[in-house]
Parts: sequence; structure tokens; C-alpha cells
Amino acid sequence: MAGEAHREFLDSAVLARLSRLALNAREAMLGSVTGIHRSATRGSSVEFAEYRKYVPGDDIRHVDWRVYARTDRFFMKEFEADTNLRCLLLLDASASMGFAAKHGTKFDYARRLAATLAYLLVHQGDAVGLVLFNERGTVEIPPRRSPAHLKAVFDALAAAEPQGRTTLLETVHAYAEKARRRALVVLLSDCFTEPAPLLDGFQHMRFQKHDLAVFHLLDRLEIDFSFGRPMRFADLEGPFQMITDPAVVAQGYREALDAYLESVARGSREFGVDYQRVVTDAGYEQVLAAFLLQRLRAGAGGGAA
Amino acid sequence: MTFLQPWMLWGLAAASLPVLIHLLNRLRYRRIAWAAIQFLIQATRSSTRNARLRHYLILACRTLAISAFLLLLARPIAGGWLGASLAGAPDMVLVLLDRSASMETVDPRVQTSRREQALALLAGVPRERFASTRFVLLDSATAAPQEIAGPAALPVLALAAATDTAADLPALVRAAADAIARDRPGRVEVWIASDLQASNWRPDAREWRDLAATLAALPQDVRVRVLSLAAPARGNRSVTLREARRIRSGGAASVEMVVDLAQDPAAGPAKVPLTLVVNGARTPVEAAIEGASLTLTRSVPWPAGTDVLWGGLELPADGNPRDNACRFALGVPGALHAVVVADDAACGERLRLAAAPLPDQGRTAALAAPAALAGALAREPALAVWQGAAPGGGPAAALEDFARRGGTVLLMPPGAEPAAAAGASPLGLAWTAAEAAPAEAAFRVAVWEEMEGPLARTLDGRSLPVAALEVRRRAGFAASGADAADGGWLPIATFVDGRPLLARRNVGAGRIYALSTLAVDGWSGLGDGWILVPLVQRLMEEGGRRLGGGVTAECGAWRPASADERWESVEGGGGSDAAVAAGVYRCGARRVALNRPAAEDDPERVDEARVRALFAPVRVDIVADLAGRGSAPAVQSELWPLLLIVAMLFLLAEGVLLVGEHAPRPSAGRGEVPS
Repeated sequence: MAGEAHREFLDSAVLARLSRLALNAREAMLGSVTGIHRSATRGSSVEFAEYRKYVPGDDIRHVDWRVYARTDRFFMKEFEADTNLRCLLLLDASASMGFAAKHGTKFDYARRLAATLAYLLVHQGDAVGLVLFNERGTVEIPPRRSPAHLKAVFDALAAAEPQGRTTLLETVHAYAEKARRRALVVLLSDCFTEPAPLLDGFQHMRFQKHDLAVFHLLDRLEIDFSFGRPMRFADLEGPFQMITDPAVVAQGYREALDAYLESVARGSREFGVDYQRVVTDAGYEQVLAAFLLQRLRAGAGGGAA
Repeated sequence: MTFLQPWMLWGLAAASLPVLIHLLNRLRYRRIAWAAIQFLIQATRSSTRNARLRHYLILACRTLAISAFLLLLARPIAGGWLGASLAGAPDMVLVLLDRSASMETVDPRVQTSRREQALALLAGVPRERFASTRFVLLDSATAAPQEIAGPAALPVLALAAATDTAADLPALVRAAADAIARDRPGRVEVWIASDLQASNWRPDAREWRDLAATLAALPQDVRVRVLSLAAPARGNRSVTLREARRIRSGGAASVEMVVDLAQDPAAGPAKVPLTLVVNGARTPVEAAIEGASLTLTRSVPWPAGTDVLWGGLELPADGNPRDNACRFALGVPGALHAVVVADDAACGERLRLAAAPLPDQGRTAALAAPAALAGALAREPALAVWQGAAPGGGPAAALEDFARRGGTVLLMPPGAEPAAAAGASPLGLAWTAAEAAPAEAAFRVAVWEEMEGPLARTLDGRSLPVAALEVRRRAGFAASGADAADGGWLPIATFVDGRPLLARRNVGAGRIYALSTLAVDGWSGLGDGWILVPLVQRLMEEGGRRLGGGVTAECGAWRPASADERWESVEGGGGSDAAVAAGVYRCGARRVALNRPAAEDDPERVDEARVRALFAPVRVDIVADLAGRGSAPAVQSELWPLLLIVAMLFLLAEGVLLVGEHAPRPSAGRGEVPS
């Protein structure tokens, strides 16, 4: 797969190195088959989970008779179930993701992250779906766990072009509802929108019990704003243009950006979003490795198998 | 502020370089497709005001720093009386120097005379600024343009030394205008250093209007600067000779000297030590003065056997060394002779009789034909009378030369009607047609000079019967010649209607009189002799006095006629120049006493507005009372160290502002995934 020309976003060496790490869900997931992730449902593993009251219709095989003998009440004995997870990769394909200074576009970077994550997830038996969104339309590939499905994901990634305005807020809200079962949602975007509605979207995701991971992609130039001479700034997503002396506006720009980043980071912490700010001059392998290791460490307490 | 290298100021255009670069940079923008446009919009909307201000301040600092450097290169100088000028140096500077006696008044604040102050100021003019300028000196004593190497040479020039003469500013300005018209330089500046004494400037003279028009009409750009030196004279006293005459009473003769002693009105009563000088012998005397002035009369015995007596009074040194002495020189009157040229025989005869009424009284008179005038004048008469059409050609030249040497000339109108055009005479007079008085009333004289002159009262104080004189016929006369207007004619007696009966004019050492009627019946009652005899006798005496062994005259009015004529000072200190310095000189057998003109003591000054009006429409810059400003005015300080500091300060400020702009911002990497 990595050898195919139009899939330059896959690097087999990186995949080989990263496949030694598992991608953990931070919370109980609802999968269709048994997997490596803790399930939200009680299942039939050997690990005792809890007692609960009997309700009519429960399988009487799981009634704990000993407890009934002591208390004269029916208690159901429940066990942890291991399941696979459904991962939905939300990839922002708006024109602003096409911004590139020195290190390639943010979209290419996001595509690499998404493809690598998809590969890793499928290979640990999880289901991966992909949503590419911009104002021109949304490409949706529903989560499946077969390696054959992976090809469809890669094809969609390879075919995508960043264009049009972003539909980030709509997409976040839509898939908070649409991915109805507990899922791992990975959002890859530059998130250039007002922070308050964006955080509303994050909150919506969390309310639906999705495990939300955000890769906030920024170019180094967008952070540093280091220009030596007057520039004509043309909006990537609209007709707006402005000519200005960067020396004059730099201070204000940085202040506005800092305030935005600060509020997004704070909101993410508040809602328990796994927030990763990624500057595209960093290698994506390191970014992913750090992301995976961090999840492993967090999952160690949570009882990963 | 003045610039030594004003062309450098063109470089000030370079001060706009930062602005130009800024604008070019704005034009030379690069296009970039930008994703994070929302922050840019926020940045321009909110907090850019300070940044923009800082940016403009930096721009201003750069511009000002460059300006300061360029000003520095133009070498500005501050102070000085020349003031600011960006036009560069003129091609020619005419320095009109007032060398009159009043310019020697010492300014008590700086202990230098007005003239020395003027010279110091002129000498202090920065040489670099006038590197290519011709300097021409026109001093009031000679009124001849003299090219000089530069103003720095002025203080040592003999042509700028002190004199006892008066200054004639209109004539000086005329000479300057002539020099400009002759030399045709490009831009001209006329610098006038004067104390603005009214008697020198004669602001009422009509020639000023003509002069101003001449200056304004010159094709060159003429700029007039007046260096007004009005140092107040403090504690100054002056002596002025009013009159000195030889009086014979009994067997002894004496000299009666009338001297005006004046002092600062603010000064109180004082005993003034004086020195009386008689033929070189000095005697201390004393005079008590109470008010502003005192008239002293001193009698000095005439030593027996002396032909010529000279002397005077001297004051000790004070605020003006030039007005501390007055001099006289008198000779023993000899036989007096008069020459009469008359076209009316009766009038001529009466004039001859009036000149020599009795034989053996030391008076002789002779009638002469007009052609024989030159020969008659060779007999050294004291008075020459010319009755007839105004003389021209040879006779006029002879008469003028005679007057110039000290003689007295009396001009009278022709008896017959003057020929079609009587014409102007070189003597400055033209007769107009005679007019007859109405039958019932003769022309009467209303005013005449009774204190001195030919119509003065007699020794016992009685007036001449001028008021009773009936004039039936009179000729008008108009001033003519080179200097028009009043032509210097001073009326001595005027009729009721204001026209003159007798007028006089100074020529060289002598005088020319004009009488507008004849001493014959049908013209006037002059022929009776009551007035004619004393008039002619006094005119003869006056001429005789001037042509005698001793002459008293105003300095500058009577000078050696030619370079060959040697005048030697008899008071020692042989360096004095008879042309410009007061004193007693030996001129052949004659002694000439020269005094500064009495008008030099007149404190009246022309005010600055009047000076501007005199030159209008030519622009005049007046710089006044420089010594009173406290600092040495000639010192012009270069400003470049100050400008250097200013430029440095601007650069420093620019640096500080720049550091503020590019201050390292706190790392924005919070929450970033470490790479």
C-alpha cells in the first residue's frame, strides 16, 4: 500500500515503528466485536465488574444465587466486556488547510496523520471511518474493520483537495449525533473559527460520550507572523484582501492569536478533550508517537487489556 | 541662522528618504494567501493604534536625524547682525561708512566708538560666507568707491579712520548707486554703517525720492542693510566756535572768541577745566556750566607785530574725543579791493562807490568789462560783483574758482529784460523776467537775517533800515545746475510774498550772494546807500577775512585744491590729514583753522521707520544697538555640535522605539506537541 504513488502520505517505516504502539481509547467503547478496548456493555469476560438489581427480562443465568440466598433479592452479576472501537476521523478539507509556508500544507500533514491512524487502528482490529468536510460537501466513509475497507479510506484521502469554506462547526455537531454509539472521534483541523461555538461543538461531542481527540494544526508562520515588508493578505476562504505593514499589526495579531489559542486550550481541558496543538514543522511521526504514548499512559490506570 | 554652505541645504531633500522608502515598501508588497485572516482583522481593528504611532515616531526620528545631519553639513551659524539669508553671498557689497565726527562718540558700555563698533562688526563677517564677494568701501569723507580685500581689513584702513567731517548720506548713496550702475554686478548689498544723525541724513532733502527710485530701477537685486550705531553719549562735553574776530580799540588789537560749551543735559553744574591755546601756547582756564549749554566769550590780546593769530579752546578727554577742541585763525586785514562788472552803467558806478566810498581807507574798487574779468580777478580782490545776465563759460568758471578759493561773489540781475532764455549758469542760478510792483505799493522786505551776515545789526545794535526799503522792480531767480531743488541757496532777506531779495550759497571756502534787484532808480531805493554801502562793505570784509592770512572754516568744506598743495599742521602731530582732520594748518603764508561742522553736535537722529521710508520701495534691514544686547554681536557661533547632539538623540530615540517594537515575545508554544 505504501508503495503506491498516490499514497505518499503513507510511510511504511513510520507505520512499522508505530505499529508497536496500540491506540487506546481513554473510555469504555461500544464495539461490534470483541477487541482490545474496554466496552461500555457488560460482557462475558473473566473480570468481575459489578452487581445490579434484576429487572424482568434479564438473563437468569447471570443471577447470583448466593446473594439471593443471603438477601432474598435478585442481583445480576456483571462482568467487563472487551470490545473493538469505532474511530471516526474528521478531516477538515477547507481551503485554509491548504496554507503552506515552508513545510507543506496543513492538509497534507493532516492527511498523513489520518492515514497513519487509520492503518494502526485497522491493524489492531478496530473500525475506522473517515469524514472529509468542506462547504462543497462531505465525503463520509462509515467505520468498518476490514483491511479491505482501509483501501477505501486511503482512496478518499488521496482524492481530497482542500477547497471552499470550512463547515467545521456543522460537521462537529452533526457527527456528535450521527456517531450514535460511543466512538473515538479524531478531529484534524486548523480550527480557524470563533472559539466559543467551537467549544460548544466539543462539549456536544463529550455529551454524547465520544472520546474526542483534536489535532489543532498550525503553520509556524501563522504563529510567528514574521514578515519583513508590507504584504497583501488574501483570505484563502473568501474574497477578502488587505494590505498592511506586518510591523504595524504584528503585535495585535499575536495578541489575538494567543488569546484564541489560550481559550481553545482552556475549553478543551475543561471538557476533557484530548487536545494536541501541532505545528506543521514538527515531524508527524513524533507527534503521533507522543499522542499514542500519552494515551497508553492514561489507559494504564483504566485497565487496558 | 545663517549657513556657511547653504547649497548643502539642497540635501535636505534626502530627509524625505525614510518616508520614500516607507512608501515604496508599501507599494512593493508581496501577496500571500493567508488562512488566519480573522486575527489580522482583529489586529487591525483593535490594538494597532499604538503600533502605528510608534511606527510613525520611528519614521519621524529617522527623518529628523537625517535633517539634523544635513543641517550640520550646511554649517549653520547663529547670532550676528547679518541675520538669516539662504540666498548665498552677493556679488558685491558696498560698505557705506559714516566717518563723521559724531561717529566717534564712545559707547560707555564697551569703551569703543560707534565707528569702531561698526568696523568690528564688519570685520567679524564670516569670510567663508563672502568668499567670492567684492567689497567696495565708500567712506563719507571721500565718497569715492574703493575696492577692499575684505571687511577684515577695514579696522586698519586709513580710509576708515576717524575724521572731523560731516557726512552727506544722500551723496554717499548716490555714489553707491553710480558705482552699481557702472560696475553692473549681479546681486548687490549696500551696507550702511551710520549713527543715523539727522544732519548727515538730511531726511527732508528731495533727492532721497530720486535716489530710492534710482536704486529700485537698477536691474540688480539691491538689498540695503543699515547698521545703526546709536550708542548713547554719556558725560560728553563739546566746544564749538561760534565766531572769532579781530577787534581794534584804541591802539591795541584783540581777538574776541565766542564759543559754545555744551554738555549732557543730565549732568549737573560743573566747573569745566579748559585749555586756551593761542599761537601754540597753552593756558589752563575754567568755566562754570550749569545747564546744557553755555556761551563763552573770551578776549585774547593780539600780540604786536603778529600777522596771523591762531588758537582755540580745548576740553579734557571725554565721551567723544572729536568734539573737544575748536580752532580759529585770523590775519591782520589788509587793503580790500572789489571788482565790479555791470551791464547797467549807473548801477555799476553806485556799486563801485559803495565798495570804496572814501579814498585812503584801505578800500579800492574798479569797474571791469566782462572780458577783462579774469585779469581783474588776478589782482586778488575780496569781492567780485557781476551785474547782468547770469554768467556762463569762462567768466562763470573764473568766478566759481574765485569763490572756491574763499572770495565773495555778488550776482545781480540784468538791467534790461533778460534775453529769451537767460539760461542756467554754472554758478547755480538763472534769472527770470523782472516784475514791477503795482503803482501804489512797492515790494517790501518782511524777514531778514539780523544776527549775522551782510544785513546784520551795526556794532551798536541798531538794525539796518531794510524794512523801509522800497523795491519797485525785482527779478526772480531760480536755482539751476546739477543739484536742483533749492540748490543750496539760503535766503537772507525775503519779501512779504516769500520771494527772496538776498540769498547765499557756499562754494568751496567762499560764498556766492544773489541780490534780486538793482541799485538804480526805477528798481529800488538801494541806491540811497543806507543799505547798499554796509552790504557791500561787509561782503568785502567777509571775502577779505577768508582770503587773508588766517581762515576759519569747516572741516571737509575747505580742503587742499590739489595734491600738490601742501598743508602742514602747525600743532605738531604732523600726521593729520587736512582734508578730514580738524586743526590748524599752514598753507603757504596763510593759516587755516578747520573745525568739525557744528551740525555734528546735533543729537537729532532719523528714526528707523523714516530710514525705511527713505529707501522705499527698496527693502531695508536695520540692525540697531548691537552693543546693548549684552553679548559680543560679531561673534557668530557655529551650531554643528548642537546639531550633532540632536541627531544622536533622534537616533537613540529611534533605537529605543525599535527595540520596543521587536521585543522578544513570550513563547507561543504552550500546548504544542514538542518536536
